[in-house]
Amino acid sequence: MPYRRTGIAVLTGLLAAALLAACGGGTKSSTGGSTTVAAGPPQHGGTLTMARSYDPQNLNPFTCACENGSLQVMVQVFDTLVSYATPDATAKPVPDLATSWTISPDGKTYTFKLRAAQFSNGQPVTAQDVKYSLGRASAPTSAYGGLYPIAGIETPNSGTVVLKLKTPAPGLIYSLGFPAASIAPESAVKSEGDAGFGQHPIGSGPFIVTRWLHGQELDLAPNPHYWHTGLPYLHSVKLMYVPNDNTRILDVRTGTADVADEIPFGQVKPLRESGVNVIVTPSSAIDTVILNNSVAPLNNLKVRQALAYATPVSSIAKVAFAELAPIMNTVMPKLKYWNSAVKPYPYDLARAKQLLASSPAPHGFTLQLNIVGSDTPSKETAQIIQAAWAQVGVKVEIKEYDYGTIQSRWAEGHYQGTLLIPDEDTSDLPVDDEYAHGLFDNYAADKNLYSYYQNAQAQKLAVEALTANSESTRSAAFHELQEVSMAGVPSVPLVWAPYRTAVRSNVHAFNYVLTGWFPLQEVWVGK
Amino acid sequence: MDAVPVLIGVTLVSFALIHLTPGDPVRILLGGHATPANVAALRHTLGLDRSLPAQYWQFLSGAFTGSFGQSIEYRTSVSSIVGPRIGASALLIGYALLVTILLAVPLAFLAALARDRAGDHAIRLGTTVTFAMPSFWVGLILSLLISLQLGWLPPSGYGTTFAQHVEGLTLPAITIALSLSPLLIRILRSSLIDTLGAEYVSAMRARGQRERRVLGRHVLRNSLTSTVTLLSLFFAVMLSGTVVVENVFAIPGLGSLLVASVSARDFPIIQALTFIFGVAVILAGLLADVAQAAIDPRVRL
Repeated sequence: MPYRRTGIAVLTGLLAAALLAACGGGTKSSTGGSTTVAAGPPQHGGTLTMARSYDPQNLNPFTCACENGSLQVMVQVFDTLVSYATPDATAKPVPDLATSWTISPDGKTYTFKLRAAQFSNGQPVTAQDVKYSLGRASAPTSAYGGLYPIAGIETPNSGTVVLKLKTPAPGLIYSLGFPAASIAPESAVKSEGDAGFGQHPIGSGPFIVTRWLHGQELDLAPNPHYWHTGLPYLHSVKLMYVPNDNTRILDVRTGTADVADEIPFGQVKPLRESGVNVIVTPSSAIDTVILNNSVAPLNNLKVRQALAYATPVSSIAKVAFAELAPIMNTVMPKLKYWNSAVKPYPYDLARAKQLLASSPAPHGFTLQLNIVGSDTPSKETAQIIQAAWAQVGVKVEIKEYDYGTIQSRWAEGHYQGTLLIPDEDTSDLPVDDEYAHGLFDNYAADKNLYSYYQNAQAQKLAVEALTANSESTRSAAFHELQEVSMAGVPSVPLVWAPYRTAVRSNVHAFNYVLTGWFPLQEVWVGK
Repeated sequence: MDAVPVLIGVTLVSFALIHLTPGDPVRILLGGHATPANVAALRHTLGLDRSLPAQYWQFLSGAFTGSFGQSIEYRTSVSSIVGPRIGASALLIGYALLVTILLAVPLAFLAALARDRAGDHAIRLGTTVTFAMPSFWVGLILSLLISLQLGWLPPSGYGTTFAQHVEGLTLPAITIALSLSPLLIRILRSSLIDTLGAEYVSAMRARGQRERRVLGRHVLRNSLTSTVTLLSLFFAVMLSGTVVVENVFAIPGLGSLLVASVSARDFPIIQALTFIFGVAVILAGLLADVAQAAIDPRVRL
């Protein structure tokens, strides 16, 4: 799962928002929107400078942690067999390095026709390179191996690759668009070694890495061998690492950068009022109060439901997320098979008290809530929850830690409740497979993402959805899973935090995909 | 030479601290969805499953031969990550020291000469105010004023040429200087006042020596000895100051790397940085001793 990491919190968002607003002066009209609109025919040339909160680490698809910082570069450098349509909320798989594919009626054989393409070193992309790359991606030692249940890979001719599966896995076609399944030249990976290739990646994507100064910037230039003639439009791309939120905003306001990512929620409105376009796009993230379902009294359904009823989610969405984040009506990311009919828990203290009264903790209890201390939305969320739950007799002790500590306490089960950073807990895929499996069908490996939540019906539905060979069965199973898991409430759902990106008006066609990256081949800059 | 035991002490304490802190670098790296089997496999590849004394010994023996092993986060050699960043931090600290001195020496003189009069009070008030402001705040205000309102300097960036480095480091250097110079001004001022009251100063003035010569040659030089020692202590404060300032201005130096590495629990990088910081502080102390001997003939090395 891609994640972001906050550095030291050097400023409170509100303070800076007030300052920036004060210095902005004027009351120009708001230019909010969800995407940048292309104006006129695209122009070739120009440089796109982006101030990012991420420093890429390792661009080797087969050994990467595939955190956002690296993913966002890998998608520019590598091709995958399929990619996700953008801008498109459903992120449909569309041809990329594969021109077409067929799936056998039993759902166990995938046949891909390959495009005649070249890697940036001039070597042709062969079926053998695809076999090698997908073999590495699906190896048991691969960190993302679980996304690729491939039993065998065949290459009947140089332009065809056949994937054999043991059981149908309709989510696979989406997994193949995730950069862990990037197609890399076998010879270059082997001659460079994994570590070297991670620093000098070679792919068949639209861009090549021309300079990489760790902790400072990574520069891209067009790949002269890119198969899509006429693309990319940009002459160069500079991805600057700017860890401080306020500095990124100043960069985009002064024109030092054209695009700045991860705009704090509270600063979106002031920034828009000062005339900067901020695009707010849906993500695959969930922000929930993760509960440890193995400790009393959280192992009791009534207690968990009471906590859900006692949570004023709309206040949280308003205060901590500046009304930019939709309220969750399920405990899963909002992806392709989202069930809009599931009812969220209304804020109902009477109902919560009633449920608690008949639970094993009728007089309330004390709950430790671990949060990342440097994250402003987490702090605000925790304070609202503390005040609200106190009214039903649940005393919340907020414990502030750094990210690494939060994560290890979570993964070791040493927690009662925990909040991750809002866009930290994200699906790698635009379909529900990864979270359905991770939350409900992976108890043996990691206690269902360390929630210690077990629900036989949810598990059965997850398995059914992940292996159904019929789209209607699959969709129905996902829909029912969302109903069942919302009733079981393993965690208290809060909001789906969107991406917030400041984009100057000269930048066109810049969009995020649901899974946290932004294809740059069709982006262009005007005068 | 007590530098070697000091260094070993520094590395031992930092090694113990970072391993006592909860948080597993491999878990942080791979994220929540990695299976325990994936985590175990990577821990083994990175050598994190060996005993702590074995890991420490490998680090220590490597450090004295200039090899710091492999970064967990970047999956490449530590020296290739740390090496290019030394220059940025060194330049930032040098620049900040220069600005601090250029700011502090004239102001301290003004305050000392105008002792207890309006000028002195104004300088003392001003330094109290800037001393109380946290450096991230000063940095943001400077950016808003100089970058956004006036458009003179970029709010972030380090560039690739020396001129770009200097341009990018100007605001960070001023930020550090504003937080450090108050102390220096205060100490230099009282030292100057003491010296100005000394009998030899009155004697020189009585002999009709030019005031400029009295102040520059005798008063300043005699007051500087304590200040130089202070500057070497400042160096350590500056190293920690770079942590915040590099983050604010996106300077690819050692301070911002240290923050990122601690968050990621990238043990080899943290150990290499504490080693380098230890060496730098020891060298700064040594340099101060040499400078003091040059200023004051009574001091023998």
